[in-house]
Amino acid sequence: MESANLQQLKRGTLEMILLTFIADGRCRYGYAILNELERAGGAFFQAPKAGSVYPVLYRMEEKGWIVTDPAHIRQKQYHITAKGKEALKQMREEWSGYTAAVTHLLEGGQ
Amino acid sequence: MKNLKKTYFRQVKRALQCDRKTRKRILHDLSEAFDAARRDGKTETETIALLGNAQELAQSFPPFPDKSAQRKNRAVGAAALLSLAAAILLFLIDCGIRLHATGVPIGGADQATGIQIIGSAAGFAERLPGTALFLLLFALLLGMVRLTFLILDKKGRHDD
Repeated sequence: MESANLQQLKRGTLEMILLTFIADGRCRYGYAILNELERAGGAFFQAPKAGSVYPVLYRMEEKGWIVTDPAHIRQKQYHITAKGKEALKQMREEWSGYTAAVTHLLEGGQ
Repeated sequence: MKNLKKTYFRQVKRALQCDRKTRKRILHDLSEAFDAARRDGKTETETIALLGNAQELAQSFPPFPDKSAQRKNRAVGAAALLSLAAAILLFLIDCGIRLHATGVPIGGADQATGIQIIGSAAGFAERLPGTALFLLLFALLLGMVRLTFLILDKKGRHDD
């Protein structure tokens, strides 16, 4: 059973992770993303569920960060938009800054 | 084996609280996931394990209304209100004209008796009650359309 803290951390970073997957072309649809999270996510992302991935994908689509490719009728495929690239760039910068700051604080702030 | 997938879909469908369009989208995506998993050689049990419990999956989608349906409904409601307001306005104008009408002489006065036949105000004013009635009926019709939309939407949520 995951702690509430870990769940919160995962919720906060899932958008960035999924957006990275789609931007890299590593995986472009729900099922592949679930598999990739399970395969490469280690202990923290073991057994990811559709309930945590699909709502994030829909939210990102609503925000205009990703779009589906109409050419793939059989299997819906997501692609990152310019807006999504910009959002991802900002998220990554914030993440780097944030983790560096937290690490610095945890190590005594010297 | 097929029953597992069917049962899973039925459970998700029943538990989803979102609007029809979103529900359709979720079920379509789940169906795609099952297809992709089958191509990967996964069994339905394995796919369900990957997708997660139907109840939990459904709960992760917050209930939110269909925006386009809401907009359509609001537009019909606004049109009904506008028609009703126009009907009332025309009715009031008609009443005003009738109160102040002095009458229009029809033809000339009779030579022998001097009697002059007077008619009611002609033209635009005569058409007002008919137009007001038409608008009133139009407003009622739009009101009924809106009510039907609301009933169908509620019914759809229960049926699906």
